[in-house]
Amino acid sequence: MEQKTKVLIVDDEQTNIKILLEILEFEDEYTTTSVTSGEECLAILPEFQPDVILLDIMMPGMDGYEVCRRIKNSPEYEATKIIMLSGRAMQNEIDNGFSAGADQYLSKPFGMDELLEALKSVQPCRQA
Amino acid sequence: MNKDHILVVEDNETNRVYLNLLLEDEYRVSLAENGAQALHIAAAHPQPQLILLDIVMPGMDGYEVCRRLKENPDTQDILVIFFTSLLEKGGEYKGLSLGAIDYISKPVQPELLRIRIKQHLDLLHVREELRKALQKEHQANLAKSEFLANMSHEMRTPMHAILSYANFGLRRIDKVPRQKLSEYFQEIRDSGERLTLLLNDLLDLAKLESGNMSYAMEEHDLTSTIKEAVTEFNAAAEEKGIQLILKAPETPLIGKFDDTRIGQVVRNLLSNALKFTEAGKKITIEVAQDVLAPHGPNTKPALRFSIHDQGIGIPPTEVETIFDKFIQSSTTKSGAGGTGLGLAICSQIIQAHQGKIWAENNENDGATFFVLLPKRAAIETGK
Repeated sequence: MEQKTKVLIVDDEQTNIKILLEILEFEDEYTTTSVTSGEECLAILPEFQPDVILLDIMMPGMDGYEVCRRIKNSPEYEATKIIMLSGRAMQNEIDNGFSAGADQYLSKPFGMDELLEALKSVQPCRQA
Repeated sequence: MNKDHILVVEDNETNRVYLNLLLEDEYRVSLAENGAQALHIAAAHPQPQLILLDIVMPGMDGYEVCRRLKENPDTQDILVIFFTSLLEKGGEYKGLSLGAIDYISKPVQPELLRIRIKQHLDLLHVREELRKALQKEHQANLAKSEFLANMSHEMRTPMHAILSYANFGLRRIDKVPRQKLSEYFQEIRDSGERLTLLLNDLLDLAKLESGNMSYAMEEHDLTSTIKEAVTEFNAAAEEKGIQLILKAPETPLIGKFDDTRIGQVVRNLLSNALKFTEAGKKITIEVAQDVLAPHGPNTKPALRFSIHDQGIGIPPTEVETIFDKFIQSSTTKSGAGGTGLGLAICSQIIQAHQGKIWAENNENDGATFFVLLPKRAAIETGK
């Protein structure tokens, strides 16, 4: 039996979290949980052990870039896939995202299909 | 107003004394006998605005002093006027090209000297005003740009929600129960409302900027205006686990004010209080009689209301600036909503009522916002 992919959603806005949950819970293959800050994200890693993190960039406190860097630089979690989500799509921000170690980058508003595509593309064994 | 400071550099003592006498009524005068002294005084605080510089001096001559003054970033902006009896050919050009702004020949004609100095200093003052005005405008532009960026950011989330839920509905129309579809519609509506609030803020801003806010001043009971607003927030407060307490007298507090606009102020302040307060705490709204300008000749009866919260308080440096346009508290979390306009709009409305609005940090925790409204305002129509 195939295990469901564990997805951690990190965004300070509840509205955005709800949208992502709505997309993912409809598909049978994801187990989801969400937090509202970078700090909470790092704290929940040992407990939830996500396969993929959907990471907002603009957050008070630790921003998405910082969270991404820390995760990718840590031996235990560097294999975790990170998809960065941003309200803007300026080139330098996209570049910053990738240089922080993001595996994918999506700018809002993105469609359901775009998100699901991105999720499939970062999971090595489950290419669509 | 502070006197301008002039440094006179002259090796001849008689001349020095004479010039001092000539200038000391109108200006603060410093004296130097030679180049070295001059450079020292020019760099020391408080610095002179203008230097009267003799050319022929033992040691460093005036040209050399000027050169060094202009090379030093600390002294290069001080105005330099040469004065000398030296009639060397090309001397005037030499002095001006070294950065001096004028050249006066000795023997000095006192009135001529005075008027030249005054003109140059006036020009300096005008330049300074201009510089300050430009800086202020630059700040204002930055604030405005940041506001626009915030606005766009604020709008993006509800837009994203509207599009997302509409798409969910369209895609899944045959695949989900009715209840689910109904939820989608609710989300679309909620986001639409959120956008409407933002747009209202924008509209208010436009009115503020063009001076077109109009007020309907009529007699109302302030207590009921406030009660109405507070009631609207009961649900939200309960959801957040915050207690709303209203303290008002039994008798009505009648005043002449714009019911809608004052209601807007109350709602805005309540919304802020809720935003910055956490569960388990209290927000206390008090309404009472009071007096405006109690110690002055213009004291008049007034109505006061205040909103006291137990939230995170206001950083002391921001207690006054929070009422400026586009300024958001540095403690605002992104996504907590708000465009930085609410308090500016409140301030505008209260000022139009000839009242006062201000904020104070509480002794223990949180802040209190106070509003004083004259009972009978002779209103300037918002023109």
